[in-house]
Amino acid sequence: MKYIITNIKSFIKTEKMIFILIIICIIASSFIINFSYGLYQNYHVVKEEEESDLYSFEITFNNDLNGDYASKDVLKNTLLSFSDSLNDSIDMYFVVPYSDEINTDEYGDIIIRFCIKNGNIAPCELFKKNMQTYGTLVSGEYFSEEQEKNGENVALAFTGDVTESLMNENGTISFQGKEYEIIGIQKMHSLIVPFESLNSDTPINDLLFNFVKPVTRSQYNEIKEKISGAFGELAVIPELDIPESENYYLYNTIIIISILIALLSAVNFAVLYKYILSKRTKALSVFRICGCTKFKALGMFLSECMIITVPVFALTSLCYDKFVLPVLARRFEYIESAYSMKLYLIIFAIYVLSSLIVLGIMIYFSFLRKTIRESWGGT
Amino acid sequence: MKNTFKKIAASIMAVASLTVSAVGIGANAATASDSYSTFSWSWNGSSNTVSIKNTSGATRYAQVNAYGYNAAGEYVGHIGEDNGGLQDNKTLSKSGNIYGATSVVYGGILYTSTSPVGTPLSSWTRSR
Repeated sequence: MKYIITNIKSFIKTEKMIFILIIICIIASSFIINFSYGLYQNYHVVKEEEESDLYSFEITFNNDLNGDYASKDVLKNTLLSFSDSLNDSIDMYFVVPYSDEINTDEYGDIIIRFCIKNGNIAPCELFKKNMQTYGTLVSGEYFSEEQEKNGENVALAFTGDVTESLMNENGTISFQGKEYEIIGIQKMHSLIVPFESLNSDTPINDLLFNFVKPVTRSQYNEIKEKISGAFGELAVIPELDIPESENYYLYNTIIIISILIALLSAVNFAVLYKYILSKRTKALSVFRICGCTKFKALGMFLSECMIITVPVFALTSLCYDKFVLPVLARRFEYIESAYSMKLYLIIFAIYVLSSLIVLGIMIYFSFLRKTIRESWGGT
Repeated sequence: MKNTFKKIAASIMAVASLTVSAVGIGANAATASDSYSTFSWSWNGSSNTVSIKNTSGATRYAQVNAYGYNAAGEYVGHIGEDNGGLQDNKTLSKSGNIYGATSVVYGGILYTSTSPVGTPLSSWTRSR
């Protein structure tokens, strides 16, 4: 301990500028590590808060059955023109076709769900799973990939008398002038058939998108642009207030820059201390001749670093908490809640441990691995 | 404050967009009947009512329910009621809110006796 204090005193006395630089490095590291952590936590809360809670939205079509209306084929082509990434982010398309064959006031709408995979209409796995989970698929099987893709005339009939009114003597259902084979019974909608099996000119009254993750501004914009382009004023597209995602990139950039600066500060510290040790080569050799082992010397130098680092880091953290954080909180509203005494201690422990490792490796490989003769410049 | 405002605005827009939809929202009511019962169901937004009137001429066991599902077909809630001694010309009715339902399946059953066994006299299933 005596030598450690003597070394520090000598260090301050002989290398004032280097000592000041080291202190600046520690202060910078402490500040930036604390700030990066707070910013990261703030970013997460902001992301959670700012991401729309919207997983789905709906577009209705002002159809005039005697004039302009949104037809199944135009809708299909429009949906297929969506980018692959957009289609992949939608786990359910939900459409309500117009039908005059079923009294929808009494029996409810015909609602059809599907997905788009690899440019083809595919079964909606989400709906299939929920039908099985909640028992709304009373019997039979949901549509297969082939049945959806090829638009086969198969149906999930509604349990009850609506099905009887559509049923033929051979047990099939007549719908849109075609015979549908009943492959299952469900208790959700008056009729469910594959989207591709609908006649190409079937009017579509509603379209709903269900997203895997909250809808982003770019997804919404793409849908709006393509649907408006295809249907013009027929489509009633809701104006949604979805936050821009640019803020996230800004946060990410700040965090990456902070990490790089903290890393540079740590490297600076090591380089500066290496310079100090290079000035002490002779003293180190004398210590070792007098019986100081490599590990004792390592311990001595590391202790010296820690005696400088620990109080400066702790003091900077304290100043950060008391003076800097309230100022930062004006700009980053969730940053203050990210900290606690336990967290400061964890950050502190991580810093101390990583400093010990970096400095230990540097000291050992730069000085202690050499023999005393090599340290003196001999061979 | 800004974030909260955005969140509220987004929610209102989302709700508004769904409210305007033709998928089963808005006040509506329907009735169906046979020789033994009259089944009625109605909805106004999230508020649902389902009822069955016993017209069979005797006291019966009756049951009504309504199950709500969201657009993806997930169950979101239900209302239900039963009565083991529903007299002739009396109605068993149940009202309640089912929030977040895109589809509601209404059911009503009138059994032959005063217990829920055997083949029902009337069995109704409707959806919206």
